[in-house]
Amino acid sequence: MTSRREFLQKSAMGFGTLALSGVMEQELLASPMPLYPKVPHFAPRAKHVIFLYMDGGVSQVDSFDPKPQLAKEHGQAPKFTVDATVFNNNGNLLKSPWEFNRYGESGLPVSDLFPHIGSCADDLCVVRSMTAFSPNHPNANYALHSGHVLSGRPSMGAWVSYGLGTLSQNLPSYVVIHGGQVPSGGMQCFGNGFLPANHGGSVFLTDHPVLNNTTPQEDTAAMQRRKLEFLYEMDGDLEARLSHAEAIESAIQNYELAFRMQMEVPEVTDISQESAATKKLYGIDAPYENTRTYAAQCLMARRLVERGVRFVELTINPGNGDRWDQHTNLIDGHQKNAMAVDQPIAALIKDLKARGMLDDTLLVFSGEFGRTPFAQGTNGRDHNPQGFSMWMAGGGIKGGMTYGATDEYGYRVIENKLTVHDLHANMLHLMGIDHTRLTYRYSGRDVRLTDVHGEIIPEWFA
Amino acid sequence: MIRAALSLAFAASIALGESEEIIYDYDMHVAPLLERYCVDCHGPNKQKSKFRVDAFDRLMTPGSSDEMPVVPYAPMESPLMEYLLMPKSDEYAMPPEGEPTPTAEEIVLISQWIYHGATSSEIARAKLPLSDQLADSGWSAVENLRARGAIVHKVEAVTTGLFVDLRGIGSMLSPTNADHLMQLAPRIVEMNLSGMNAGALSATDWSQFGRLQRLNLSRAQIAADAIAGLSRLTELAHLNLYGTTLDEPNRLALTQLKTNRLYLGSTGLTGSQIDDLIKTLPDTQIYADIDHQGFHQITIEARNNSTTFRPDEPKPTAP
Repeated sequence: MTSRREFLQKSAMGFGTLALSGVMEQELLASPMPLYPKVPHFAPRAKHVIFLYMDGGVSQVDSFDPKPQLAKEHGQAPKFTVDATVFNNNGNLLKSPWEFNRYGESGLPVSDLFPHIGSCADDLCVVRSMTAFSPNHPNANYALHSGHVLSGRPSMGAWVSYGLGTLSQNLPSYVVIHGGQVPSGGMQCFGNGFLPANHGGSVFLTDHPVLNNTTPQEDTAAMQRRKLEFLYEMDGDLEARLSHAEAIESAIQNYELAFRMQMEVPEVTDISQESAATKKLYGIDAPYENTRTYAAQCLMARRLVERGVRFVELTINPGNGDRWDQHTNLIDGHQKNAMAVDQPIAALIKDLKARGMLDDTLLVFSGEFGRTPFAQGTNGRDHNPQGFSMWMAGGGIKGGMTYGATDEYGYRVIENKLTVHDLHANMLHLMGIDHTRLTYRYSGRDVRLTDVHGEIIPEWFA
Repeated sequence: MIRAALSLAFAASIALGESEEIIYDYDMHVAPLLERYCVDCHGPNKQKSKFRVDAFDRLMTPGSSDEMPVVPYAPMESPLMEYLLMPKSDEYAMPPEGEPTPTAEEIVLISQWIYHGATSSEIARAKLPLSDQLADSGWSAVENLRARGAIVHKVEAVTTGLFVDLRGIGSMLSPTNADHLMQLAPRIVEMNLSGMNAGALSATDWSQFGRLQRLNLSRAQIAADAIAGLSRLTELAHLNLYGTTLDEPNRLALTQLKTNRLYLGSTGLTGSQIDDLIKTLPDTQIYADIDHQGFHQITIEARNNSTTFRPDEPKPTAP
C-alpha cells in the first residue's frame, strides 16, 4: 500500500505537472505541497496583495475625482446625453456634498469623506479612468474579481495563488476577511472556478472562531490524526481508480492544510496581541461599531501578510444602511461607509510602511463601478460603469499621482480608458507574473485571468 | 547523477569543445565591443531609438523599430549587422560618422557570434533549474534548508540569484542551518529572517552576501557586529530592522550602511538619534515609528470639525 506521503507526492505531481508547466521549476513540482512558492516570471515588486473591496460602488465625484463643474451647474438638467441607468429615474446634476482638500507634497485631491486616506496621498496612485463591463452589481462584481461578467470563473486571488503559491505553509494562500456584507453575486466572487480547489478564497470572520470548521471535534489530536489517515487511505483508493482525479487531490491537500491551520489560525487572527497604540491607530476603540470591525479586518490583514499569505481581500460591513450603493440618501450612506473604512485603511498603510512591508504589499481600493454625477431622484446616485476611480498603494506603485480622466462632469472616461483586465494585468505584473503566460487549460483552451486583453501601464510603477 | 551529467555537458558547451572549436559567447566576445562603441547612446544614460544594448536581453529586444535587432544564425538578416556595415555617409550607419567605430575584425567577430546562434552562456546558465546551477554542496544546502521548512528558490525565472525565506525553520537559526545558508550566501539576492534569532551570523558571514539587495531582519536578534558586516554590502538597497533592538556597536555602524531604504522603527533608537542619522545619510530614506500623535489629530478633527464623521448628530442638509 502507498504511504500517505508517497501518495501526496504522487498527487502533487499529478495535477501540478499539467497545471503549472512553464510557471514553476521541475524540482518544485516534486514538492508535496501545491501551494509551495513558485518562481515568478520576473523579479516581483509585490509579494502580497490586500484588496480593499468597496462593495456597491463608491461615487467617484464624491471621493477621488473632484468636478467643480458639477457645483456650477448644480440642479440643472444635464447638457450631455444621459444613457439609460438601472433605475432610469435620472434627475438633475448633483454637486458633491463634500469638500475636496489637497494633500501631501503631491497635492492629490481627496474629499472630506477620507481625511485619513488623504493623509496618505503621497502613497496613492489614483486611477480615474476605470470602466466596468456591466452596470449591474452581480455581473460587475464577477468581472472585478474574475475578469468575466458571468459567474464561475476563478477569482484574481485564486489566480495569484495558482501562479505563485504562498509563503506560509500553514495558512491558505487566498484569504477573504469577511466583514459580513455578502457581495451581490454571492461569495462565489472569491471562488477558485475551474482552478484546483486549493486556490479558492478561505473566508475568515472577525469574531472567534474566525473559521468554524478548523475547530477539531475530536477529544484528542491523535484521534483526529487517525481519522484523517483513514480518510487519506480511502481517498487514495478512489484516486487510484479514477483517471482524472484533480478534485480528489485538491480535497486531500485541503484536509492537510486545514489540519495545519488549526495551529496557526487562532494565533494569527488574535489581534489582542497587538500593542495598545497599534489598536488605537487602526480604530479598534472607535465610537462607530463598523469602524471597529473594519479595523479588526485591516489589522488581521497585516498579520496574515506578515506571515506570508499571498492575497487578502476585505469585504465591508453591513449596518452602514447599505453597501456603497446610495441610490438614495447619498450623504448618510457614503458618510457611514467612509467612516467605517477611512481610519483603518490609513492605519494599515502607515503601519505597513513603518514595518517595511508596504514596499512588497500592493493595496488596491476599488468598487465594481462608480456612480452617476446626476441624481437618482433627488438625493441619490445611480450606477455608473462608464467612468470611476480606484487607487493603489505600495507594492511598487508610484505614489502621489493620478492617471486617466473623466469628462468635466465625471460621467465618461475621456483619457486612458481602462477596464478590469488592465487592473488585473498590472496587479499580476507587479507580482512578477506575465499575465499572458499565466494560463490554465480549461474547456479546450488556455484560459487567462485577462482573457486576450490587459495593458501594462509603466507610468504606475515606482 | 543526471544533474551531474547535465552540468558536465553544460561546462563542455561553454569551454573549448573536444574539436577545439571556438564557442562564441555574448559575455566573452560581444558585450565588451558593445560597451566600447554603443552603450553611451544605447544604455542607461541615453536610449536613442529606444534601443539599449547594455544587457543580452536588451540587445535581443527591438527598440522603436519592430524588427528583431539580431536574427540568430543569420548575420546578413540581422539589422544590427546592417547598421554596422552601412557606409558612414548613410544617416542610419552605426556608430554614426565621426564616432569611434569597431574594426573590421571586431565586426567579423560579432557576425560570427550571430552566425553561431547569438547565445549567452550566462543567460543559458540562468535559465537552468536551480539544481543544475548549483554545485552539489550548494544543492544539498538547498535541500537541507527546504527540508527544515525554509523557502529557497530563484528570484525570477531566468537568473542565478536566490530568494530565501528562513522563517519556516523556526525562531532560531542554528549553527548547522547557518552553515547551509553560508553555502548559498554569494547568490542570495533577497532574504527574510524576520522574527528569528540570527545571532549565529557574524560580520564576516554577513560580508559574504555580495549580491544581497533586500534583507528583512525585522523583530530579529542579530550579532553585535552584524551591521558592520552589512555595511560592506554595496548592493544592499533595502534593510528592514523594524522592532530589532540595536545595541551600541550596531547603532554606531548604521552610519556606514549604503542602503536606499532603512527601516528603524521600534529599534530603541531615540528621535534625536534618528534625526542625526537622517543628516548623516542624506541619500537614504529612513523610516521611523508612526507619528501616532499626528494621526490621532486627524481623527479628532474629522470627528469635531468635518461634516463627514458625525453620524450621531444632525445630518448636513442635501445640497
